[in-house]
Amino acid sequence: MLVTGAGAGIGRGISLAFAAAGASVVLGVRKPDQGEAVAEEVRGRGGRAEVVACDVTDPVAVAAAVARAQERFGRLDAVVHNASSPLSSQPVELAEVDPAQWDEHRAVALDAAFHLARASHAPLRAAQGALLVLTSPAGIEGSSRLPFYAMAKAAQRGFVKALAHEWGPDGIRVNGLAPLGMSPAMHAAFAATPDLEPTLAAAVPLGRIGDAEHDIGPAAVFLCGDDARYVTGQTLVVSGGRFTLH
Amino acid sequence: MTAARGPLAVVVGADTYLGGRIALSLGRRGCAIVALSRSGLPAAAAERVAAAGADVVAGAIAGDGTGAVAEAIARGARDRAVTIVVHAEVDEAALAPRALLELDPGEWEAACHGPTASAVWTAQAAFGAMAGAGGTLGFVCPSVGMTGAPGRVPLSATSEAIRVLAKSAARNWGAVGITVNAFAPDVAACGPPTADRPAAAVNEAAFTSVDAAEDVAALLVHLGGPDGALLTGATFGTDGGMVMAP
Repeated sequence: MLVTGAGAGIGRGISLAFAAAGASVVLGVRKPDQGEAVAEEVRGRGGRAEVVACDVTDPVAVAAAVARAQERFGRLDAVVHNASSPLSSQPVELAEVDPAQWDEHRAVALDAAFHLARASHAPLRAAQGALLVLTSPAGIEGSSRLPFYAMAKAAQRGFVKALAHEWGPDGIRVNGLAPLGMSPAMHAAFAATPDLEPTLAAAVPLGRIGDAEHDIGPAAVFLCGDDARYVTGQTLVVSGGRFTLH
Repeated sequence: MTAARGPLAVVVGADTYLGGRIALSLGRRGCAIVALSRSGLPAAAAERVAAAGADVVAGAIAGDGTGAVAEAIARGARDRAVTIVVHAEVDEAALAPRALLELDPGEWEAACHGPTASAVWTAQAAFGAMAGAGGTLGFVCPSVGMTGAPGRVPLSATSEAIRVLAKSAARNWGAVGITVNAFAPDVAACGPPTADRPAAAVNEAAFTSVDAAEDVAALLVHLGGPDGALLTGATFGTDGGMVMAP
C-alpha cells in the first residue's frame, strides 16, 4: 500500500490500520522526517513500513514513490491519496479570498490524484488493486467557510466516479472516502476553542468525532480489500451519521 | 440595440455553444443581455440575440482574475442593475472523451484550471455586481460530474468542483440577497452535435425532447424573480431526466 500524507492525522490512522491488517505500508510524506514516527509505530507493532519522500504535486516525485513501493515490496495493491493542502482548514470568505488559493487546493487534491493515477495504473492493474481518494462531506454539501477545500473535495468525487468507469475494465477499483475524523488541524481547533469539540460531537448521532486509526482506517482497509471487490465509483461517508445526504 | 425591457442578465461564456444559446433564450424571454467571453467578443452570439429583438451588449473579458470579469460586467451593465449572472464556460475541447492515461500533465492542467478558475472569478465578480440589490447566480455543470463516465475524468472533476462552489456560495450569500444554483445538462447538449456526439439523449419515459439552453434560461428567469428568491444551493437537472440525482 502507498498512503500519501501519511505522517499525521487521517493518513497516520489509515497507515496503522493497513499495517494491522497485515499490509506492507509505504508512507508517502513531503519531508521524510514527517513519516519516521509513524513508520516506527508500525514496526513497533510488528508491521512493515517504509517512508518515501513524495511531494504529491510533483509528478516525478509521485512516479518515484510508486516505483519505490514496487521495488521495496514487489507489488502495489492499493494507493490511498490522503494528502491535502495546508490551507485545507483555514477559513476564508469566498467573496474576498485570493483566487490563487484555489490553485493550491487543486494542485494537492486533484492534480495529485491525476499524478498518482497515471503513475500507479500499471501496478494496480497487475495486482487488480484499488485507488482510494480521501474526500470530504464538504465535497458533497459545500462549505461556507472552506469553499475552496469543498471545491477540491468535490472535484475528487467527480474524478473518482469517472475513473471508476474508465478503469473498471482493467480490474482496478476507484473509490472515495469522506471521513469526519480527528486530525492535527482539528486538535488545534479544539485546543483554541474549548467549546468546539462538545458542540461538534453533539451534532454527530454517534456522539463523537471519529478516531483516525480505529474508525476511519478500517473503512479504508475495507474499500481497498477483497471484501469490497464489487464496490467502485462510490464515496463512503464515515462520519458517525453526521452527514447523511449523499 | 433595443430598449431594455426586463432584467439584465450577464452570460459568461457567451461564445460557447451552450452559452450562446442560453443568451439567446434569455433575450427571447425579455432579458437585456451582457454577452461576455474570455476568447474575444462573442459577436456571433450577440448578433443572434439582437436579431431576436433583445437589448444586448457584447464584451470581452480581458485577462485572468476576478477583476477582469468584474470590469467586463461593469462595462456591459453601464450602471444598470444586474439581476442574473450565469457561468456557461464549458470547454468544448473537453467534450471529446479521452482516457486519463492519454493526458499529459499540461493537458490535465489546461482542462482543470481554466473552467474552475473562471468559475471562481465569475462568482466573486457576480457577488460584487449583485450584493445588496440581490440577484441570482447560476453555473452550468454537465451532469456527467454526478455520474462519471469513461473518458470524462477532467470534465467530471471540474463539473463537480463548480457544482459545489455553487453550494458554498449559496451558503454564504443568501444574506445579501444572492441565490446560487447549478444547472446540469447532458454533456451532449454542451456542444454542437457531431458524429461522435449526437444530439442530447433523452429519458423517453420522461420527455420526448430536451433543450438544455431553454431549460437553463427559463430557470434563471424564474430564479431571478420574486417567486424564485428562496431557491438556492440546488442542482437543477436540465438533461431531460437522464440523470435523477438522489
